[in-house]
Amino acid sequence: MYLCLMYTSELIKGTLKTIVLELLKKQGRMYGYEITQKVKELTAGKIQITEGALYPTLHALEKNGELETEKEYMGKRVRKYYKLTEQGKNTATERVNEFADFIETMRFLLDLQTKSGHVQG
Amino acid sequence: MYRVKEEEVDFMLDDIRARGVILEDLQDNLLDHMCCIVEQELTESDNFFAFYERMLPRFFQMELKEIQDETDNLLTFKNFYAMKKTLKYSGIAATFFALLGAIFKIFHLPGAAAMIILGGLFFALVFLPLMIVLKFRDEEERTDKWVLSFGFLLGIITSSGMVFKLMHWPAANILMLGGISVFVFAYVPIYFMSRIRRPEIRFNTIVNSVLMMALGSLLFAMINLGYSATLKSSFFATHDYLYSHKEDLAKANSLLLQKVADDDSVIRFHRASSKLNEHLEETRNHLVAVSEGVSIEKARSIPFKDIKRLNDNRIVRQEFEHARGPFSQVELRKQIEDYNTLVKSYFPDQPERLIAVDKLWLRETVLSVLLQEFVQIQTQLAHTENNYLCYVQAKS
Repeated sequence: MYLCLMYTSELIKGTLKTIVLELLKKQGRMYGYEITQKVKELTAGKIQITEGALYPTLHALEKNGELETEKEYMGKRVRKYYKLTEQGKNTATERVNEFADFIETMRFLLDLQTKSGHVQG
Repeated sequence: MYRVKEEEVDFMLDDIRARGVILEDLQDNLLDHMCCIVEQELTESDNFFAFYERMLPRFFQMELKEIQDETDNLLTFKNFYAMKKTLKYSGIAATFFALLGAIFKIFHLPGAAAMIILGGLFFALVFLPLMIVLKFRDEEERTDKWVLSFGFLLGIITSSGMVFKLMHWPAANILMLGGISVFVFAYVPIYFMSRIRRPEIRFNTIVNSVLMMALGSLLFAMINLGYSATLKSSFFATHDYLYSHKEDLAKANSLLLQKVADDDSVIRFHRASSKLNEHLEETRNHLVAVSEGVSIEKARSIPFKDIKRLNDNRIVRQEFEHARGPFSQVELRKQIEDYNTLVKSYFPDQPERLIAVDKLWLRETVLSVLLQEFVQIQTQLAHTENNYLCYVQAKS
């Protein structure tokens, strides 16, 4: 519903937290707009995170103690930078490992060719 | 690159607030995000307001408040699935324990009350409160949320009342009767009125209302009627018979005693009987005085059937069962033991003459039953003394 143009929402649902956590692990600290742009850039526009999905997730992660924020004042507006806490770093690793394992399982389950990444005819 | 002007920042912030985003952090995030988009995509020749109108729908499907709602949902209901699971398991546990408890109760097996109470607690304290929380999230109609939650609240009150009743805690009747009366006379009509005008649920509403009204009324009638009036009058009649029988025997005994008063063993036996008899009388008067809130003298003259709080178990618990001092259970048991020792020496081969103290209802009972037990002991005392006096008289 919120996430992307290219894949169905069912496929992407549940991966947003993993994407955000892993991105922040690599980039250090980022603000909301930057995250959407980075994901768009890395996936060549295949995955576009919408604002409607991103901010609720960021707030939930912050409340859970996975993220911490730093505020920067830019004139009348405030920019919130998000970065991982220690707990968030562990969660990021766990989530990525879990997802990698999931992909492996799906690859086996759906009998996908490893190299080409296409469904066998 | 376009630079967002201060008045444009103010405009966007006001608009974000006006569209229902109330969380300050979220307002800041959205404002910064919008500013970034404007700065990246707006050219100097474009009109800011026209661009803003075009940009805004990126943030939502129907309205901007969706982001606020989604954030609230994630923050408030992050345990939504855990809650649903708990709801399911607490429902199963409540049904399982209540059913098993009922079966145990029918067959008089131990642990029945504990299971029913456990079932009731799961139902009243876990299942129903969770239902209220989840209804508030799931139900779309505002009235439905309130009406159904009101029903669940009444369910909590009534089932707590039932648990209270089983545990002999105070206010059980008020909770049970109050909960069911409000359910039958207020909740069902409200439920019916709030749903009957919607054609898609009209049939369901009628069926549900009739079922709830019928079951609620039956339950209300059952609880309100209490136990059988015939049983109650039979209980009083038994008490009256025992009491008058005891009195008659006592009169006969005093006449017999005059004839054999020179026998030491008779005097000893009479003293032991009288001592226990008086102790029972004093304990009875003390309990009635506390229960009725009157003096001992006044309590002495109150007949059994005029005692107002015969079904009270609190008085029994506090003033007798767990009490210390002259009117306690411990003291009565001690006196009965003393009497039994004496009787055993008089009737060594007649153990049935002893007062079977372990078979008496001296614990976890109500005032009426305890007083009935007292009269039974007194009757037995008079009876045994009468037998002994007759025996001595016949011998001489």
